[in-house]
Amino acid sequence: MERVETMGPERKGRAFVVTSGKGGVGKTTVTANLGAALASLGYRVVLIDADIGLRNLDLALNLENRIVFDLLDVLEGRCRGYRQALISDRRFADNLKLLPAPQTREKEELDPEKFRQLVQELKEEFDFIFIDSPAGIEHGFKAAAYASDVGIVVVTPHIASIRDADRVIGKLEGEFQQPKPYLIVNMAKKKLMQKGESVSVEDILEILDVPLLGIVPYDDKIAAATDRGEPVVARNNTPLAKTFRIIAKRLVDPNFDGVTEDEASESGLLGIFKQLIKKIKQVPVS
Amino acid sequence: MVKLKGASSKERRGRLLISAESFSLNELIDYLKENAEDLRALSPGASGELLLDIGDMALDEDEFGLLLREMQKLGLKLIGVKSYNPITKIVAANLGLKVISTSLIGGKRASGTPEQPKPDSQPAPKTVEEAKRTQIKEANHLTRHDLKNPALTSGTFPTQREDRRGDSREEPSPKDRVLIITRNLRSGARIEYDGNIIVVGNVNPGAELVATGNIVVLGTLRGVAHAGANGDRSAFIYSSRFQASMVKIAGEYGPVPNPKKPKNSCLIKLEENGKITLKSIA
Ligand SMILES: Nc1ncnc2c1ncn2[C@@H]1O[C@H](COP(=O)(O)OP(=O)(O)OP(=O)(O)O)[C@@H](O)[C@H]1O
Ligand SMILES: [Mg+2]
Repeated sequence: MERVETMGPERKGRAFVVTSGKGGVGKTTVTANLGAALASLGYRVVLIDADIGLRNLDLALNLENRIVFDLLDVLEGRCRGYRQALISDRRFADNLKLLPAPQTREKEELDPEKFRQLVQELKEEFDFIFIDSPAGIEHGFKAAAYASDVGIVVVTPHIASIRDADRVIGKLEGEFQQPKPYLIVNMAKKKLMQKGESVSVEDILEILDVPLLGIVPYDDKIAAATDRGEPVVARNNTPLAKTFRIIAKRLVDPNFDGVTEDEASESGLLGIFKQLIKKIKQVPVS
Repeated sequence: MVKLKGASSKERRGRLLISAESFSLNELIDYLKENAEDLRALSPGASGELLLDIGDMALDEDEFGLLLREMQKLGLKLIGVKSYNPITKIVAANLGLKVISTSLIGGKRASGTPEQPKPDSQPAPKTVEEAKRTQIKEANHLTRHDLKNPALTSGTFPTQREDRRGDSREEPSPKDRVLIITRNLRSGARIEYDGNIIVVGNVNPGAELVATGNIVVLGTLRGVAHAGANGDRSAFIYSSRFQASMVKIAGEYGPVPNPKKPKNSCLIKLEENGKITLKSIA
């Protein structure tokens, strides 16, 4: 395992909220795959499904039938501490844990203070905590944002998605006093972008003005993998697995300068991507 | 010209503004009762409409209700308040009253804090939380009086200049006030200001700026800007990079030809024929 030590001396984990405003843009997909990629790099990762009532993350990881206790059971004291509720994903050497959401409760039942407290505790044991936020900017999103240190905003190259991402970024920076969140552009269609038929990554960055963490192409294999309950990262040598692994490395190593196949393949875009990478490097990672 | 005892009156953009900062609510109501007739006569078109400057008097909803009922009985209509009490401002805004935030720098604070207090210029916040969150910095007036404005230099009302010699509690007129915002305004942000607005940053799609004066965006303007919102047709909008799909001046709106193509150093004005024009002035 090529585990890069970039944590501070106290080795406390960082909590990321994966959010977007708009629904269906890939929050759960990004959470599962980034988590799996970091776990396969040797980091201890916990994924929290905060989408109460609409849980999905367990499906994306095919862990549904192992759920005994859920997030609200932990917060409301119905099990002995959070450890009893965590589900370990054996495909990733037990480095990847899931704290599932209840399926039959309401988002409003998530107590923001207790949730934040739990996340603080988890930081003692894990390097990375990813909170999969529900769509929207209401209670569920707010509780997830409040519990986290920094955001990973997922956006697709569509006007409505960009508008909603902008709104969410404003909330993270303003209401929650967080640093600028990282951005993942998901479902990018490179060919359309080149032809000017889709909003380009450059356009998105100009409006949102946040550091880019990576670009994930649109690929039917992702939807198929979601349905199988297998993160694309699990198939080691595929381009998609490499993409997520590269994005994961950017989160842990500010000196890492790899580019994904997608980002590098087009000479015209290469310059832009190089620039983007530079920007990522300028952002302190701790 | 009637001489009003205990309070001073002045015109504010053709409206009657009564300074009653040092009053309690009961004193204010008594004062209004005593002077109702004169106040009605002084109000524009004898409509009884007036603005009250109530300093830092804290009024809750019930107290506002009482004040409004008493005024109604007297044939007076409260259209707005000038206040630097945050609670009063929120309650007033929720009641649909016009709220004039007092600018304190340069003026003297009625409650007698001699040093310059924090500038307070939030566009009427809707909730207490919002009031806390809004982070707006106000730069103050650039010039304190506008001698070209006849309302201020003629007639029986004290001019701002005279006012300054005495115990001045006058804020700069909206024309001279500038709200400076030094951050990006993202989707969902709405800034309203009775004066001019300068944004050092971008105004994104889904954000909205409304000013009674001019609007200057030192960044890219992609959201909606409305200058001269109270009907000032001479108000302008300037943006160092303009890429919006619509702008408004004094209620007139102009769809913009090709928002895909940004225009640099763009000045937007309302022409006499009622058309909105864009010009690069680089
Ligand atoms: N890059 C991609 N290419 C193709 N399909 C994708 C991609 N990313 C996600 N999908 C698919 O899109 C669908 C929605 O993704 P996902 O559930 O991750 O979105 P979400 O933002 O979590 O949605 P919600 O707001 O409902 O929680 C899923 O079927 C997923 O497999
Ligand atoms: Mg989801």
